[in-house]
Amino acid sequence: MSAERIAALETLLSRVVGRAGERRVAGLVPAATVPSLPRESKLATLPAHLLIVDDEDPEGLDINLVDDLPSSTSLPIADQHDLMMFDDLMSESASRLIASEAPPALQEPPPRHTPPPESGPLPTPIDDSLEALEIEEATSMRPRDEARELEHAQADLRAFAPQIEVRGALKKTSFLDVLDASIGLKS
Amino acid sequence: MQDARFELQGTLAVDLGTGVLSDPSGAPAWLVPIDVLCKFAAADDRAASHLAELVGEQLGTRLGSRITLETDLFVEHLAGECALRGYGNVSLERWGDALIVRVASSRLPASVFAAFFSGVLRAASKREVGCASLGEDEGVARFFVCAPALIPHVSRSLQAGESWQQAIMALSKRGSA
Repeated sequence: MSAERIAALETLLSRVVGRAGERRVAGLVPAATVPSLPRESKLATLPAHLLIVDDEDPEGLDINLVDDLPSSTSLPIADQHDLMMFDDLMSESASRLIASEAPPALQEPPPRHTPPPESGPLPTPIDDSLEALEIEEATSMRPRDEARELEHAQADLRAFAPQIEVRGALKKTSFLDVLDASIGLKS
Repeated sequence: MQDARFELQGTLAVDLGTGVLSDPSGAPAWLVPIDVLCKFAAADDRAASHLAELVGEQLGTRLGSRITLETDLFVEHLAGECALRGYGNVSLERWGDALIVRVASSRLPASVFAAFFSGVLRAASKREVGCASLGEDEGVARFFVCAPALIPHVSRSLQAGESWQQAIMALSKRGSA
């Protein structure tokens, strides 16, 4: 995976995440160092990592959103399957940003992060590993038409992306508010 | 305010002496094998859905006092109550504003579940709520929580070959237009 692609993903993700909680993307670490996810996680019980798995990248990537948050912070996405669905959306949008690269084969992410057979204690979030990978500054190399593509892709994601909120923000949201939003009573 | 966390203890009681099974409210309950319910639904889906809706309303009434809990805590109660009754593994997803109920490990027909969750959420929230079945994927059934008027739109989109994600996205764009 090129530095340009990593930068595009990082930009894309930071925009999407910023929509919900103004969280910044802290950096990228090898996915191989990320603990597996519990399959039976309920809402808001996942560890504080969002996985971006790329078939073209033997190590995959973990975009860690929350190194500046307490270790108990979680993302309210139901389980690994949803992460992968989100990954598909992200990858599809990101691939459109990089005209110079062939679209990656990300439609069916490999089940590399096999959940444990039983739900147990959540994996410990990684904090020291963020230094493992330095991101090169390559965003300035993106052509202008790709910037327009980026806007389109981000608009798509804003319209249809899993809600990403940190647990702290979610705690302030009652279920009734979530329900009202879904049935159109509250925006 | 009810206890925030879902507690398994005291939720179901079996009195072997009298042969009475009591649900968490103390009301007598009956265990019905899933196979029997499936046969009932196959014979009369409308009646089975009505039964499921009534069961859902009863559970929703119990959950009503918890409806203002934080979302993750409410999910814990909903999932716990459903698991106790053998309804499967229930969790929630949010896609934008769209709330989706997921059910894994259940063998009941989707129409029955849609009616059940409609009953639960309507009674708990005292809102006009419907649940549209989004189909099943790898053993996981999904239901879109929406205004009842939107259910036919979702059904038409799915019948036209759209994915459930596309169906919800179209409704979202329509609502924001």
